[in-house]
Amino acid sequence: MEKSKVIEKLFKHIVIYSYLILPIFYFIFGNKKRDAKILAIYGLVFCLLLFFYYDIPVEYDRYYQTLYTFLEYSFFTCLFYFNISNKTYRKVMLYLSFCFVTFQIIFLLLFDSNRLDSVPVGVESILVFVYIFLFFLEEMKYSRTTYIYHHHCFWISVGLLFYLGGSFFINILADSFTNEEFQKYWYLNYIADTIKTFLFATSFLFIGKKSNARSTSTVPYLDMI
Amino acid sequence: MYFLQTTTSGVSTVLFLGTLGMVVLTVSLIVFIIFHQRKVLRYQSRLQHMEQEQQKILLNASIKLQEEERQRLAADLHDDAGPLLATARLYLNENLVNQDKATQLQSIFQARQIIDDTIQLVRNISHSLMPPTLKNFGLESAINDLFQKISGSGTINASSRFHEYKDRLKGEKELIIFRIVQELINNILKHSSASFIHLTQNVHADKFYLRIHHDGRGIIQSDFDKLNKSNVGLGLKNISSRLRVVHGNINFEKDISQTYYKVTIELPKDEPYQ
Repeated sequence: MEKSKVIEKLFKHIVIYSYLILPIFYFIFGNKKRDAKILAIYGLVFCLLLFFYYDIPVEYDRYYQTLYTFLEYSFFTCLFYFNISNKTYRKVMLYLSFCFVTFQIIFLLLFDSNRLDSVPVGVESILVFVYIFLFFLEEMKYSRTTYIYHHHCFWISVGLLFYLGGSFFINILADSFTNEEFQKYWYLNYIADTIKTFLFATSFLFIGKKSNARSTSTVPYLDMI
Repeated sequence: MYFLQTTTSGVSTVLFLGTLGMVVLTVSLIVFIIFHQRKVLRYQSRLQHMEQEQQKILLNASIKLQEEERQRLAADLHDDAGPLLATARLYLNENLVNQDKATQLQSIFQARQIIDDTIQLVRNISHSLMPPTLKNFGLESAINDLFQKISGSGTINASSRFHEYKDRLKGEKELIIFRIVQELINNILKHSSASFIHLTQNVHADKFYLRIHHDGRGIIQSDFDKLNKSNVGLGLKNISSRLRVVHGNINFEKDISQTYYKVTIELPKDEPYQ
């Protein structure tokens, strides 16, 4: 077997099995919070999705990719939806999600894709970037008494920034590459994906820890008489 | 690097530069957020520390004032009520039964006079603690009463006017405002050598306003803030503390005509007094 093929296989397996770290951490930390459950389910679902990817017939590849993008988007959006308290932002997220799903369906029905559903993936990346931005915006608006990296969603955001940032261009340009080039650069996606999974795992250390405690001012007892 | 060595097409360059740019942007964003938040937290902690210091000063002022008030009460009772009652007791001693009827009547009359004086004294002390007019008739009557008494002394012309006070504020709020007004008037009488004091009240856009004008020596907002942070000016600290309780503001200023000083108290108007 070619050296590059071996490396590719190794990377692929690292990516697939690294997802299992999320359900494992869920059981190790015994954290029953909603976000921990979401991350554990996310890890399990994507581990299975990637594991069975090569067994899927080529004619169903489009549907698989659409499902993959949809599930990825749903998990990421859920994580931010529950961690953003601003009602307007949440409404915006719901509206954008509805638009995204509609767009995905239209794209699936009307357009053909060769390797990847590049356009929906690109739109998904931009939307998740927007949610990350909204999360940071909200965090910076309120006065917190703890550092932002004590918030588990910060680690999720960092993971996603690396993942989406690292794989954005390869997803967008996927159809422009030759098979050889695509195989060669697909490592980028594997690296970004693995970094994301490990950063998601880091977030387990902070799930459930209070980070929203706001300072309260006390007034001394004054009514003397 | 592997990618650089093998990149031949323009697409690969776009991919490489784009990905690199995205990663750099990501790292920059994270670094910016962390540093910005650390800066904000440091600033908040400094502010919190300053606020705690300020509260400590206010608390000390309140305690000191409370102690002064207790001392005044103790002095009033010990120096005035005590001797009066002791004198009354002297008139009503055991020898009274051995004396003739006229002397007995005389002694009883004297003792009664002294007891009446004592009752009046206790009433005055009680009124100074909690004016009955305020409790029974509200802030407007209590302030009018206070100003009439000041004016009645003949040394200063004091007047007050309430423009819109049909709905009374809550009892505890009225008491706090009354104490603030008392403290301000006390300061004006003590330090300003004013020839007139005038108080006006009004309501505007869910806010309750009280304004005191006087033509004596006064202070402006910067003086007030300075005194509030220093160890002197217990009365002013007490005003600040009381205003915090009712979420109110106070503003000291000199009139544009430069002839008199204005003190404006502003607080949110609450539901009508039940």
